[in-house]
Parts: sequence; C-alpha cells; structure tokens
Amino acid sequence: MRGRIVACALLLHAATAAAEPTAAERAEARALFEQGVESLRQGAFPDALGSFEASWRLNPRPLVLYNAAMCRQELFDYPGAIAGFEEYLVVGASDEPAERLADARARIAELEQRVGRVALAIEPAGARVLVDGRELGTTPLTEPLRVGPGTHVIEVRLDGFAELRREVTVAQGERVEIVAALTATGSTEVEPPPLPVAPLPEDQAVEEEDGGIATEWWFWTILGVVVAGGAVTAGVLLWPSDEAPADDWVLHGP
Amino acid sequence: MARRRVPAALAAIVALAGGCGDEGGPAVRLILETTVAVPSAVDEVTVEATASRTPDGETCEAARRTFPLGSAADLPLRVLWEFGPEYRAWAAFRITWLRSGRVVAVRTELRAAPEDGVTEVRVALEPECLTRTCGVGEQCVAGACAGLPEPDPFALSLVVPGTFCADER
Repeated sequence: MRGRIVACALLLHAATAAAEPTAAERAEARALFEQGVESLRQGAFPDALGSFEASWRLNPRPLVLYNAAMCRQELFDYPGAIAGFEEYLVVGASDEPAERLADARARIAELEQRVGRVALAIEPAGARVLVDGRELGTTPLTEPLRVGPGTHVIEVRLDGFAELRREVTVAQGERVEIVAALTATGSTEVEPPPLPVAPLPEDQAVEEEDGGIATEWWFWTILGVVVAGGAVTAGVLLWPSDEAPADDWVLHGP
Repeated sequence: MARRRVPAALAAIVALAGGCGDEGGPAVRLILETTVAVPSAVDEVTVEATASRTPDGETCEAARRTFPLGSAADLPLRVLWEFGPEYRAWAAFRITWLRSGRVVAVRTELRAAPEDGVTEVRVALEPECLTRTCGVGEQCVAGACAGLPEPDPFALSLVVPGTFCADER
C-alpha cells in the first residue's frame, strides 16, 4: 500500500510538475493559498483544504501538500493525512529542510496509531477496490488499506464477476481481514466466510486487557481529535517563512 | 459546514502570510549560491550593481556592498534591483568571491529590464571555477571560459559622472 501511495504521489508530481507554471498561474496559486490561510483563520478547514489543493494544482510546492495534510488531519481524515504527508516526503525530499521532513515522518508515525487497517485477500487479481466509494487500488493489494476508526463500506468490482460488498467496523489499531473469491456472473454465489479479526499489536493488546473505555474506538477518536488540534496549530506556522525569502540587498535605480 | 474556533495565536500568525508577492515595477533579482565550501574556500562576496539608460551603455556609478560568508547558511544571497524611471535599459552585476581578502572568482551578469515583473538571475560559483584561468574578455561560467557581456557594463567609459546607481553610496 505504501508503495502504491508513493507511486501515485510520483505520478501526481510528474503530472503537475511537467510544465512550469506561468506568472498568472503562480499569482493565482498564491491567491488560493491566501484564501486557504483565511479559511484556516476562520476555522473552515474544508474550505482551506480545497484552496490548498487548488493552489497545488497550479503551482506544486511541497509546503502546500504539507498544509493540505494538516487540514485532513484536522478533519479526522487520518488515512488521507498520512497519504498527504507521504506525498510531501516524496516531492519535498530534495528541497525541503531536514527538520520539516523529519516532522512529517513523526506525524505519519503518530497518525498510524490512530487508523485501523483492512487487509483484503480477494481472488481474482485485477478487481477494483473501493472504500466508502473511493477507489483505492486493485487486487492483489500488497498491504492492508488504512481506514479511519468507524464503519466502512468495502466494495470489490470486476467485469464478469458479481460485486462484493462488505460493511466493516474498525477501531484504532485494529486490523480486519476480508478473505473472499469473486463469483463469476451467472454462477451461484458462495457466501464469503465471516470476517476474521486479526490479533492486535502487542502494545494495543495491553490496553485491551485493562478494559474500560480504552477498548472503545470512539474514545481513541476523541483523544485523537484533541491531539490533532494542537498538531495542526503548530504545523500551519511553517508556510509563510518559505514563500518569499527576504532580499539581502534592495536597490532602487535612478 | 460547521466551523470551529481557531486559537487566537494561530489567527494572528496566519494573518502574516499575505503581502509578500512580487508586485511592482520591473526588477532583476540576483541569487548567489555555491557548492564550494563556506567559509574554508570562500568567506566573502562583493556585489556591484549598475544600470544603463541606453542599450549601448550609459551607466550610473555602481553601488557596491560586501557580504561576509560565515557558513553555508549565509547563501543563497539575494539582491533585488528595482529599475528607476531613467536607467532602465538593463541592469548588471559584478560578483567577486573572496577568501581571506584574496579574489578567487569574478563573474559579471547583464540582464535587460523586463517589461514587468521580476527576472531572476541565478549565479553559482562552481568548484571548477576556482582553479580555471580565463583570458582577457572572458569569465568562468559552469567550469568553462565564456565571453563577458557586451558591452562590459562596468567599463569606466560608460559611466555618466555624478549619477549614482542607488542611495547607498
């Protein structure tokens, strides 16, 4: 999965970086960025995200990705935030300061604790996998899909086969596996096996033994929201310093 | 969409983000950088800047400033020339890299004034240029000898006496 995301990031970067933005595009990208900042100031995070994404399409600067990922984090889209930070690490690898890259890695590590995973073992290969209506890859998936805590609809589609549709509820740190074979259209559908739940990682398992609210996915979601708010506040501070370095000497000619 | 309150500190900080665009009249921005070790190989750079009121060269008296280079963090160094109403045919820079007061490399760049906006000129000091000796009328660019700009923007014969290029002098 990680490899797929990185590959997508590279494709996105290649597509957007193919042509140098014109002066008009740069100006529009800057205006969109400022809209994003203003939206952030008002707490309108969806609007801010939209502005940053539009700015990125016009003038792909790594910091725009970073800010967009921060918005996703604020909007509780933890898988999207992780993907955004991973993309930032790819496109900003050579130009971004080492401290900020390290910060993005740390955020990914922290966010990884807040997501659940859905592992799919689906036959045959080449089927499209959608999570909550969004296409995330094709079978076979080499790594589990990251999903936010809660209930999700998993759909697997392939021409000539009946669609597989499953609803799964995943808690933070939990991993759910779906093992199934698509049935060819016209044949008798075989009821897929129940969803086996894989054991939690050891650090999560300790919390399970203690019981109490720590076992509830909503508890970790609320905790994550509290932590995320502070993280976003800190992260947005990075943008302005990179936009236009000050000139060391300015001369006004006669 | 529900809106959430943003901490006052964040609001204050994001408000600072605007107002640093490249609006304004025509200008040339010189950006100096190097892969040479700083400060062991170069520890100072002097920039001279001039401009001409005609394409053939009638220049103001060059402005000059020296920048100490204590570490690689002192680069890139950025110099912005904003064209005035009269001397706006072209602008030129002479960059002199030094170590312990001795000149190690010199580079001259000339750029015509853009109709509008800012033209960026990146000048890099390459390690190869520290050891290469070029002939008269030449300079080292990207490790190879190349011709100086025509006309030589810092030729004394072009200077209009008493017209200073900037109020620095």
